[in-house]
Amino acid sequence: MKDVMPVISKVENNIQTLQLNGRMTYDFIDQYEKHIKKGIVNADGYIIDLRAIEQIDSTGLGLLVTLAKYFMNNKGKMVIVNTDALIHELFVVSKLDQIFKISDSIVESIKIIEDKDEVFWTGI
Amino acid sequence: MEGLYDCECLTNAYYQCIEKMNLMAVITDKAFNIVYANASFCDTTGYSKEEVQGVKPNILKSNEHSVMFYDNLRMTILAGMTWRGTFKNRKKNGSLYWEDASIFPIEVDGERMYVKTAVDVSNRQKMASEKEKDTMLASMIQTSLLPANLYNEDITIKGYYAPYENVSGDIYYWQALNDHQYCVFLADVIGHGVGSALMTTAIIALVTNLMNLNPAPDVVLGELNNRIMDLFKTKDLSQINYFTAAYLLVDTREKMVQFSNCGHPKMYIVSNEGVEDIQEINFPVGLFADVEFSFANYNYTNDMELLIYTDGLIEKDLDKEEEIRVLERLLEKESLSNSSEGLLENVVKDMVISDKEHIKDDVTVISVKLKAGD
Repeated sequence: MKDVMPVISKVENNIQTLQLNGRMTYDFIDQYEKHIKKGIVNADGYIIDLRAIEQIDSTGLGLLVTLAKYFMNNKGKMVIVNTDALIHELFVVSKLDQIFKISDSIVESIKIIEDKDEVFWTGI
Repeated sequence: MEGLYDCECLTNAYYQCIEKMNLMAVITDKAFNIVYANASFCDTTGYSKEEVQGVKPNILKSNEHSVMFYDNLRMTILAGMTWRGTFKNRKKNGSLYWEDASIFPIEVDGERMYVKTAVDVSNRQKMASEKEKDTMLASMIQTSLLPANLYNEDITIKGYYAPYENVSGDIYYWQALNDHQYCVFLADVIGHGVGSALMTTAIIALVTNLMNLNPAPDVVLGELNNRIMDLFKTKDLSQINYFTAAYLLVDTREKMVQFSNCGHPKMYIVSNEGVEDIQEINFPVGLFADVEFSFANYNYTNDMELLIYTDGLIEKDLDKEEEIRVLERLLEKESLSNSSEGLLENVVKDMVISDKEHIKDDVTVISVKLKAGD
């Protein structure tokens, strides 16, 4: 995966957006982990934007679960932005659609994070 | 001194540099007779400077390389280019050593000469060879855990197993519990390579034990999940270990299959009535503690064949949706034909053997053929 910045971070109104790019697969997963670990800031909510992801495999899914567990332990609200049908299918067959908050846009994700009645995953 | 502009001084500095550097250096004349060898060369090979003076570098030849190897070297340097490669050479005392070498021509006073610089990489080669031996042993152990194909009057279970590297993150197991009940289990551990393969051995040890205690899918998978969560408990959140799995409990007397998918692709049922897919969705195993696992029942009244596979079969460097369509078209064709070859063999032939260059993960396919009887 050349010339692709795997993670681009932006913080606005105390919400951090992590835009993930490229292939979240076994060969590249270390790069995502390294950038995410380094880049996470204290925020009220986190948006994981997968719209520029070309491919995701079981190691990529594992990293998303790791993030969800991390934010759950740190009382952060995490919303995933995804518009890809194959990635959604992966969430469904692994039941992760029941764990993750998933939306199709950044605007919608901000609304979910700011909605005080929204119930986020607290661990099972 | 502002700089080494004085020619004699510079030559002296170069000489000392080459003589004392921790890199072997040899210079030959145009007829490949050694005219200079540095101290590092003598230390490594055991030859003195006097012994190699005027002789050809092939005194180091081990006869471990082909004629083509040396032809390629000779043609490269005679064409004025640099040859780079790894030699297995022989020292004066007869022992062998490995060196990473560069050989290139130079011109000195209009005369062509050849320079070889090399570094001893015997330790690296030894480690690589030991690693290869270990991996082969791991591969042998892993393969020995797989059950043999099972052929009974009313059930046939066959498996195809192709690791992407020497060892696999896939594992399967089946067992006859009695004369009418059979368990079939398939797991695909996150990642591939030695780490995933080690995890498969732990999974098989646990699952064979659990199948015999209580083979019900929800019980086996629930208990397996708890034990895996315990086994790979870590505070480092980046060290996540999990696997997807498919589990079947077949009762040939009741003509019923209880099945469960844990983050695993759907299974296919192929009969002369057509193709259908079945799936009972659950979390992958090892992701979350204390979750419940569900299963569904499938009653069969006709002879049929059940196909289970790991996603390496359909996740290639190609369009995954198209790969699924290819698989389904193939199964449709199989349901209509009376091919002498089996379903498993045809799936493997069309989607693995003839498509090898696109495979980028471990591939496992299992077929369970069930006879409904009269």
